[in-house]
Amino acid sequence: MRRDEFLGALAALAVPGAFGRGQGTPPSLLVPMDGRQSNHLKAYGLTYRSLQRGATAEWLLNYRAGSFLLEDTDRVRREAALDGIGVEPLTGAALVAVRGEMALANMESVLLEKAPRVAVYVPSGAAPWDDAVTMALQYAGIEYDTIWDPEVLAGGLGDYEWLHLHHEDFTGQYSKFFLTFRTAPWLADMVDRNQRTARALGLPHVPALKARVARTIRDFVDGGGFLFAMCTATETLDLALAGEDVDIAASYGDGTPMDPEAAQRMAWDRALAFTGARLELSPQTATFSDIDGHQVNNPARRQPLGSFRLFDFSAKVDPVPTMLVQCHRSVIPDFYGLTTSFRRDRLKPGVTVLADEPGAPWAKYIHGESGEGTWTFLGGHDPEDPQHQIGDPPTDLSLHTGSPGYRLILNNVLFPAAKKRELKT
Amino acid sequence: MSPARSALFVCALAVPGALAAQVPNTPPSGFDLERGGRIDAAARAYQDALTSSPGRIADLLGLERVLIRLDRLDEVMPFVARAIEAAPGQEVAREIAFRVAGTLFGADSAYAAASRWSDAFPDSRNPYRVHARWLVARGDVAVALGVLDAGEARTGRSMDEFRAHALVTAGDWPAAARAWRRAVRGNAGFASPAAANLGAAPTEVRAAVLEALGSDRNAAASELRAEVLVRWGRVEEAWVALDAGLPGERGAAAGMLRRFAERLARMNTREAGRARGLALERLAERVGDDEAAALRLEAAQVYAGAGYPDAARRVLDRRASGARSQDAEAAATLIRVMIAAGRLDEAEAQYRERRDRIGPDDRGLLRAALAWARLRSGDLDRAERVLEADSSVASLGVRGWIAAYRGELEDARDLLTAAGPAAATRGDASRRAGFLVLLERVEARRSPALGAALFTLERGDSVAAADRLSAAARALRARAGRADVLVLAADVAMATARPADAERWYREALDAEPDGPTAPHAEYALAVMLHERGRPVEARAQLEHLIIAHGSSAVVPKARRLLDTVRGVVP
Repeated sequence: MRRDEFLGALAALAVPGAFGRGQGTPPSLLVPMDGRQSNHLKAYGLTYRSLQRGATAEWLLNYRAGSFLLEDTDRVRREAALDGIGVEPLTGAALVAVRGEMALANMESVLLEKAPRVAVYVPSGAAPWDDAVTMALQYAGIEYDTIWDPEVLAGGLGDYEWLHLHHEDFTGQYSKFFLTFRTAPWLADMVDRNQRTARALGLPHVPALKARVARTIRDFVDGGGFLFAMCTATETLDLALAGEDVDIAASYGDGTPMDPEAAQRMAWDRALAFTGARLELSPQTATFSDIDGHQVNNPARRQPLGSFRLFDFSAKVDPVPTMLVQCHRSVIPDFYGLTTSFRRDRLKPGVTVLADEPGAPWAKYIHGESGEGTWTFLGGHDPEDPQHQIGDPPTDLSLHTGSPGYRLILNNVLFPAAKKRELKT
Repeated sequence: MSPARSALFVCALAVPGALAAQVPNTPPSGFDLERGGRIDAAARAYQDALTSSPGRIADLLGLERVLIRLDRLDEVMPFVARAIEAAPGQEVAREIAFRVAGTLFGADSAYAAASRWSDAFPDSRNPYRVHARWLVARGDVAVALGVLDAGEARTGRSMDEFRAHALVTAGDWPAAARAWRRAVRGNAGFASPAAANLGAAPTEVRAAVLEALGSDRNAAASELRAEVLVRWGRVEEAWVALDAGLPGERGAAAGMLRRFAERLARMNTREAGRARGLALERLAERVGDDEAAALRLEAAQVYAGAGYPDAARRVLDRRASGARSQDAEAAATLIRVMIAAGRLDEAEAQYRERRDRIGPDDRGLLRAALAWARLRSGDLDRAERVLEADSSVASLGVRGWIAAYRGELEDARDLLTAAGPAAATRGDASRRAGFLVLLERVEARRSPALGAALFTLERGDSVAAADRLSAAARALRARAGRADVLVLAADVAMATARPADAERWYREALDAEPDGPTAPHAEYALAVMLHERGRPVEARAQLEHLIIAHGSSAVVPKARRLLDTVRGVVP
């Protein structure tokens, strides 16, 4: 879907007609998302499950930090009580007052109609605790399926509206941990699993497998899918797409060293977000290119963490980015990942920057369209574990119920609920 | 406003704008650009600054930093040369020249740069130190040691501390220890880095390191040996080493002992306590009488805390029967040590003998401590006798517990209420408050069965106490404390790994009073038990009932957390 079409669809979904409602409408529950909410993360699950049961909901963009309006039922109240989610019953008159306030301000109501079918790209059997999105989905109580290379290449993405990628390395180099951690059992498992999968699918090596998967994911987006990626999946997906015909993998990936002319041979027109990046040539340095501004694993180039700032958008004119930045905090402490941020000078024209670090040459959170679909990239690994290391204990989200960083992730899950049309794929 | 004042006001408003317009835009400094990640621009800014002021070392260092990141370090060379010319007295410019030469052109150029530096600053040890460290980082330890020898010969100043670092890098720990020993003997200030360095020695070389440190009576060397031993966790040996090397001069010896005692105060082991007590006693021999008395008291407290009551008593006896035998604190400490050691008859005798020397506050606390000790030994009558006619808050509290254990519940309520919230520790205070809540719920004036059950619990026989509590509960009316006592019985059963009994009693309590004040706790405890016993469906149902039925209970937040765990949505 092109941007203007999508905006047209959203304009139709926004509910100015509902402003006439109030008297005689079913009772509503407001789920405030500002500082008075006691569990922001579970509020998304409450809304999602309500949609899943066939109810509709409204996302009140910029109203009390992106509140939700749900049908007031015993089931919703019970779930809210069990999960400690703050809700406020609204009378018809109070609802009219809310809508009146929204009409006069930079706010908009977007109708949520359908719980999106969610797929997370991880090998089967992987524990959820090393992936911020699966942790968020799990904690909020949002159902998801896991999907991996065989299912992706067999057309399995067609069953889903929303796909999440986290720290997969689509260049097929095992996150470039091979030389450092080659004796670690988890890396041996990863290498073995990927190599077996590549062989089973008739592909010569893991980089070829991942390139094929990357292309299929791009086709999913082009066909109208919603893609959300974090950490190193953002950067390596684009490197795999742009480098599909180039040897960009070290010898431990495909048996041959990287093409020394690889950077010159990249076809950036195939990538989603980035262009013109310089590739990291050393097989020992666990960075992939100069797309990442922070270079956490490159001591000579590593940049300290700061804070990033969410941009304000016009809710009535730009509802899509507005949805993606709904949060009760506008400045959020940064967090490292193998890919932490995205250098502005490596972004393609037309990419929307949703958040950046003031004064720094990188963006943190970006969004764009490709074909009929959209993609959103958030740098970093875990918003509540800023310096996550391999082997660190998992984050317990019950201790971070108001995490602004995790809210950004969950905005992305509900964002496709606002899209009315069925996917073409 | 008069016209004149009005004109002044307008001027005042106009001036800041006019001034602002006259101030030229100051370009950001290289440092600001570097911090903002604009490395190329930072390099240009540093170069511009150095062109106009070639001797500004801060800008030269900044330029070196950013050019390394840009992989263009060679561009710094002309700026270094100009800095040396403009600021010939600055050794830092020479050091940068050395680093650049070493990084770009290798060992020969580094050697040449170091030679030019030492020629310009013939008394400085820095050229040799920096050159040797650079060589060590490259693995050329033998060459580095040669550089340090040459430096020592040329400057006439010791290079032992640098030599020791190089030797540690090479893994020659005994030689490093010898170098450190020489350095410390020359300058006691090196003791701390030396100990930190040698403290990292691997276990297999430690004997050789100790041998190399020697056993002479030089004070600084003894202190180094002791500190290294402390870092290895061999505290008692450390004390022996330190004690053997104490100098005759009182002030110097006292300083060593103080440092040693302070060092051990940060360690929580029994051995550290003993060694610290010994050091404090030795220190007491080297200071004036007043300070000595305080140090001996501190030593006794340290011994008692570390589990050496005899040592504590020895020190206190000496102190309490000595010239300052009126010292109340010493006597009180001695009695506390005896109570802690379970020597109650002796403690009581000491108390009777010394009570007049002890202040009233301490007297009350000691009586209460003695009464508690008698009570826990099972002798309620003797406990009561210890309290005499004391009506202090501490004594009222103990009397309340004694009444409760005799089953005189109304008396217990009155006495504990009169004692108020104050108690010896926060734990005692909250325990007393919790017990008062239970007594308020139990409406009966007396219940010898409940008193006996509580006394059994107090004395630590939890298994028998749980059964007696549940039996006593059944004698109470349904909404007059039965549920509360059953929940207590169930809690004790859970603590003694009797989950079946615990489950039965929790459920009985909930049947007796499903909406009572103990119901949320009973439901939560039951859910914990069900979860731990692998019954997640029942645990989840129990938690959901608790959260919905008792939404405002203080238990609800942890019930929600447990519910998340049962659902598997948190790790």
